[in-house]
Amino acid sequence: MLNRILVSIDGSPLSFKALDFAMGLGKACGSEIIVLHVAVPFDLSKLHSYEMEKLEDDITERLKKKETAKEELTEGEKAKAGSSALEVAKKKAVEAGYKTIEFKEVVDTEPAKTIVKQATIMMAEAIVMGTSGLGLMSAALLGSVSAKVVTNAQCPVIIVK
Amino acid sequence: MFKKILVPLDGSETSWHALEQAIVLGNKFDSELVVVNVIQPYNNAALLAVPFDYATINQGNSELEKIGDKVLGMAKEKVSAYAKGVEFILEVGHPSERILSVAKKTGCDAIVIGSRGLSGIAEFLLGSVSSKVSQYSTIPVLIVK
Repeated sequence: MLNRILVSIDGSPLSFKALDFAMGLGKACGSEIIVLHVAVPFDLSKLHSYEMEKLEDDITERLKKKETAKEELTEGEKAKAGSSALEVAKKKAVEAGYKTIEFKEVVDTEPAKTIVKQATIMMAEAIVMGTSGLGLMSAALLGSVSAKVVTNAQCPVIIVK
Repeated sequence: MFKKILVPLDGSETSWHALEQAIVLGNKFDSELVVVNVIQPYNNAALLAVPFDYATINQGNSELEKIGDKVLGMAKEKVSAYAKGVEFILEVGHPSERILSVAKKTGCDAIVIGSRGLSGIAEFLLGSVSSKVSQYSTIPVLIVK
């Protein structure tokens, strides 16, 4: 039943909790895990971005050390801002010692659609995701992305709280 | 994780799928199951403005209870081979509310629920009960298609 689990992460703390949950589930069932991060370009709803926060911390730290005075962001750092969700996920997987795990990044403006599509393409037998992620409106209720995924997915969906 | 799984049943196709999934999960995690059926008491009389007396209403409600017992009876047959403990609960009231309160009372740490149940006029694709449960529950919810 749970041979392939797709975990969608967006960099929010809850999404990493979903990853932990999936790894716990996967260990018991011996399943492969696909970690999917949908990068949304020009996403204005992402005003509070954990990724950007992290990047800012990095920069202030470096400024403190006077490594970079007024340098522009390098290409590497720009890429880091986007991929840090996956980086954190990779670290978590290594920490947990989870072997059968893949990472995938997709750029699309519609996360919910992409998650459902990728789940079908990757033949996932379940989707694990957090209730609400980074969107502004989502904190109050079930997030818009998770609600859409639940209604449209072909496979069981586990909503982690 | 998955020490005790709550499975709300209403006798619909997807709710049986949910029970099957819960059994598969439960076998892997050695978890106990709690099977709950919620019946909604017959209270449409006021809505229809028909002067029903209590006897009629009670008769309707006892009929509903019989149906609830039957659903739980069918569930009992399906889980007869299950190794760990299974609890059966019949609740009366508002479905999603009762489901969540049972989850809290019995100390379940996951809910496995069908995406839509018996109700015809539900929200477009996800049923109203399952969407409410997944919104308001404090424990992980597995929604089975």
